[in-house]
Amino acid sequence: MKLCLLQLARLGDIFQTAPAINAYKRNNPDHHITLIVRNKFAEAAHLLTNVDEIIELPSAYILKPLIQDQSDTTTTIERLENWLVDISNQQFDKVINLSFSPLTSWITSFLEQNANQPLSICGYSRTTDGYLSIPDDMSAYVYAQVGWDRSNRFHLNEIFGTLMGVDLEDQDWSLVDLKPFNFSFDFSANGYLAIQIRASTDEKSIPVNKISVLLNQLKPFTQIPIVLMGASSDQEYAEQIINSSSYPKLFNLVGKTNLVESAAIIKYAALLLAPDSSLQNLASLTQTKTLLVACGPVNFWETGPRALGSMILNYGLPEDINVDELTSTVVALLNHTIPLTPGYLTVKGNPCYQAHLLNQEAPFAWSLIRSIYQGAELPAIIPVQFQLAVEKLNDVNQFTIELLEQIQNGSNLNEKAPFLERANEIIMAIYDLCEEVKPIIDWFNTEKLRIGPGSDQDVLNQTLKCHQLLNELCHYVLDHNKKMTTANIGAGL
Amino acid sequence: MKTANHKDSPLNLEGYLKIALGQIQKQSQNYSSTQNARTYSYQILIELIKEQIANETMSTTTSQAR
Repeated sequence: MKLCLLQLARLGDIFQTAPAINAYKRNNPDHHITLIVRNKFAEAAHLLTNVDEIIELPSAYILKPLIQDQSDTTTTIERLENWLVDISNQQFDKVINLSFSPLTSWITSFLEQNANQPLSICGYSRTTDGYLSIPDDMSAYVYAQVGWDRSNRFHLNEIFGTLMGVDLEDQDWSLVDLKPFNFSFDFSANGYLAIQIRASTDEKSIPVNKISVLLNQLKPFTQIPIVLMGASSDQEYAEQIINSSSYPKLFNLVGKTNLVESAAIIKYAALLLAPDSSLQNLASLTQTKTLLVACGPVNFWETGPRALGSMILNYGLPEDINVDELTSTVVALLNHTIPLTPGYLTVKGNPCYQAHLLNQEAPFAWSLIRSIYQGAELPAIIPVQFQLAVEKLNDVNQFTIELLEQIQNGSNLNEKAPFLERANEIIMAIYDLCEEVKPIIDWFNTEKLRIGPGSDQDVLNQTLKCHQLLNELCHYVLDHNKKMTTANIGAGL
Repeated sequence: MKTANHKDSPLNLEGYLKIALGQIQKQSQNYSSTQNARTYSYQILIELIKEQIANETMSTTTSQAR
């Protein structure tokens, strides 16, 4: 069995793919795994244990003929097609697209169309008429519910595991063997605190002045050596931190280590303090306790640390980060005590975080997602605006079902089309007006999108089926609310 | 054909890619009516260039093909 995995996202995504690859290999030791990554991030793939072959996408080489006064499209296309044909000739039995981008959907589709033998596909691809194809339920879930601006609470590790058909075990969070980094200075037996000073963007980063204040505030509480980490482009920030901090044992390795060395430093750290970043994802694989400072466009439920004992402090914006909270949390985690700051603790299970000194109750949107996809009970109390939105959604959906049934019974499609379009506009207006109802409409729109090309009758039947499913869901919600209201009145009597 | 060093050129990398993208999108229309390997090459190339112009390889949760 030859398995091809497409992971053309970034460093952190490659690290987050590792547990699923390890679990797959544990279950299928004889299968040959090829991982396709961008050459820019290939170094990360070489840290994974169970990949048999790495293929790099040479973007710069392919695009180089375009970077001149007269674009040489012919050479670029030739280079791209040679790369694609080489992959296609590997005769894979299965392709799993672990990225959810337009680019990878077309690559997957190319491999599907050019296979000389039956090829199983999982993940985004393209239909025969070029539209996005979402063949499996997990990818449909990702399309509908996953993202920093959505309410999903399943971690990407498990999402990748599901796409690869495996259940993850603790042992699957692992990397190649790493020897301790050969520091030019001696560290105490208690190890050191590693700090990644920057994320990929300002909006996800801890401001450098706050890191400086943190270091100064840590001084009375600990003498543990502190290692600053980051990319070459972060060096000026490191200088700023060093110049404004009086912490005695501060070591600047920003821009001075490669990825393997960074991994080794993290592996042997007592604690990693980091924003949402690739090193934070790497720390899950070295099982290093991590304090994630999440801010900006981050859904920590999907990308947060997995080593037990880790914690997340969640802030809206970098300027909201409370350095006093950060200081006390770092001290507590270094001392192996429970921090007295509100946040989220890494736990076993799925979802893998537990609110700490915060409201334990899950938000309504997450309960609704679990109800739609896992059949979980809805909460007893349903927000009023959600109830009203579902009533409106139900009305317009009933109207659509009637129109579709009329077409099925011979009415002219062209005459009904404007009404169908208007109904769709109303559904999207409900979407815009009510935050709580979004998981339902995202699910519904995704299911409609999954209808592939076919005869008018096929497309009509499948569209009607989608609306009937929405009808069932609306009635489930409305009946649930009626039941709960009756129960509450009964309890009151 | 003259090959320019993009650093010395009045056009930066992004400028060259945007021009190339326009040309490739136009050329790709010749292939849009039939599904053959070249159609896929053009679509893959278009998406690859778009990502480069955005100067960002997106992470899993931000690269959604929505």
